[in-house]
Amino acid sequence: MLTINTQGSFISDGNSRVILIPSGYNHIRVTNQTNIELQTADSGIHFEWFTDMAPNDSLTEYWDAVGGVATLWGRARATAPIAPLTVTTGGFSLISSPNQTLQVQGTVTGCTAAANPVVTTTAINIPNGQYGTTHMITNRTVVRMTYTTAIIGTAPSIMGIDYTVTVNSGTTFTLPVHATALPNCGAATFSIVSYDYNPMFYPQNRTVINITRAAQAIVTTSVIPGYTPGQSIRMIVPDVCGMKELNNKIVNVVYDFATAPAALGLTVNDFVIDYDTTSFTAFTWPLAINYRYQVAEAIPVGQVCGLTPVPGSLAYYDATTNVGYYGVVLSNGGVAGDVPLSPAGSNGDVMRWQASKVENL
Amino acid sequence: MPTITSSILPPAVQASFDQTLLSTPTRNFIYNVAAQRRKKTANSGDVVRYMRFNQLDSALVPLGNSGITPPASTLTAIYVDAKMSFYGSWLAINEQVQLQHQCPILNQAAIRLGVQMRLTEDDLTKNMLAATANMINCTNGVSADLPTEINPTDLLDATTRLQSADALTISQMIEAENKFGTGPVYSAFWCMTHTNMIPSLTGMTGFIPKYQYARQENVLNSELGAFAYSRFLVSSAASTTPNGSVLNQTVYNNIIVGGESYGIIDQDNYGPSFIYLPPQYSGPMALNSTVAWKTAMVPRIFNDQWVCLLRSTLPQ
Repeated sequence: MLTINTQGSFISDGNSRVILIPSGYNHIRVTNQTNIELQTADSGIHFEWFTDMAPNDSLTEYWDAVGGVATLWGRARATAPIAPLTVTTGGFSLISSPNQTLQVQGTVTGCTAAANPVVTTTAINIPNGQYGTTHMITNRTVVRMTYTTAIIGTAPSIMGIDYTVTVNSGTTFTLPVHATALPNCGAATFSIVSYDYNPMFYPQNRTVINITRAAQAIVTTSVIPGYTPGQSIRMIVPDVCGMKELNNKIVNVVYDFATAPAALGLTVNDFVIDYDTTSFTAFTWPLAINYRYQVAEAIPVGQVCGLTPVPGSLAYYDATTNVGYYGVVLSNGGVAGDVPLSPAGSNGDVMRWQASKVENL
Repeated sequence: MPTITSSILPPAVQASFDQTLLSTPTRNFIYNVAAQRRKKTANSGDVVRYMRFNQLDSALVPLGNSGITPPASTLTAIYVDAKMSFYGSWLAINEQVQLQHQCPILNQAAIRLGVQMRLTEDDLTKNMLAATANMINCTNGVSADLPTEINPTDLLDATTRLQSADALTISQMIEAENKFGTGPVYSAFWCMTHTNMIPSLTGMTGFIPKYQYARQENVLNSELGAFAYSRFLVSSAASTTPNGSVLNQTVYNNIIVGGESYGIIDQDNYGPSFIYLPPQYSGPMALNSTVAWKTAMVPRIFNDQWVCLLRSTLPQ
């Protein structure tokens, strides 16, 4: 019986982080080297997680007071959390691409009327009777909402669609901007979708929620597209979405969020195509009146690069690649104020991690 | 005279082991049945590039008698890349298991690993098709959900989309013959779907169960029957999207494919291999043997317009 260790380090950018651990693991420990040196009160220094613990949980050691007088241990999702761990604290979650089950479900109490609705939720009670104070969603999490009764509400067209969301608070998040203002919605259910955040195959098709009318149109997808410049995309635009002139056309990606000039004002859900849509019908997003609609799609189809591939080109824009992996998500908790207690660290923190597993050989 | 019963004199060993093992549930592997099988040559990188020329427009303007050369046509193409991935799995067996167990553990390990490899291949193709295929919601059912339950109109919409893109059918037409209870079947695309869809499909007016085909030579075990331009293959682990409908129901991804629409590419010189290492390789005590498989492959859609993912729910 051997204990196999894997280790590494990273500089935190303050966001949640995925660490790939191909060998698998039973236990992971993260050390915030910066916090150890600074000795700031209530700042986390060690975070541990065993794979039989609940998602987003963590055993956390943190400075009790300024100056490194003493440290305390606490649990992020303890039944009776001790201050300062009563606030939402980022934890660890196992991530495994082949595991395509939905994570915990929660309740939506309503959403605002807007093109980018703000969704209000109740806290999730996670398994094993542990404590939950928020929806447990972090920025860029993919969320799927559905109605739970047989009555179609006022905003069915945001239900059953996967969205990359932006977290506002522990009980609210915002959807990306649709082409059309949506009415408010009533009670619903939301699920955290792990496998669109972590697709098995890249590139994937995406639901299109807006296309601008411009010499080079900006396409907004409900989930971060992940397409790269040079890639060819087939646009499927059903009649209900307007802009039928673009239906079934193959377009090329000019810019993604990372490469676009700042003046274009792209968000992470946008990409720019080499197609002039200036004179086209405006794109619209279906509403309740259109109920039982098709939705617009972007489908990666290949690359159009003329008859001769670029000599020496290594940019295989369209390679269908299985990007599945085993790993762990270090969650920042998603709420300002709790970052010092997160295994993802604060911006600029030096983080070291060590994962281990027992192998019966 | 007392009768000696087994209560008085029980057998020395009360259990025996039946060497005929019970069946292991194994699902239908349906996703590579219609796949083109291609090979990537060795020593040529990790990406294989395919090329498809686009059609030239028809030349409708008459040349006339002026002797003037008309404009040239433009030849364009689309490149489709696929990047090889390597897969494998293994298990270790302690020598005492082999020594003490009544059934041939190594033989069973080899069988299960072989099935695991084909399961992996099937799942990879399923995930790839679900990730990149063109989607349509069923909207013509009677349920209040979106997508609705499957309906003949939705199925015909999906196959019409393939036909409008000049997709090739996979199976040839089965002509009517003078046999009781049989009928003709169109030349058809193949639709890969979930076993939970069987009641919905067999309940559709116009559905032809496979036992009603006039000829049975090319019928697969996993085949359910046919409706219009689709023949259905079913699997208990077909593609689904949990909680994917507006009303929180599981969405079934019915993937309809035409001929040459997708494929699976194997790596030349790296075919599926089975690896057995006897205990001598495990350490100084020679305690554990290992068995493993490994291979390299990648599934890929070759023409996105010849694949359609028809999303449906179950009737409510």
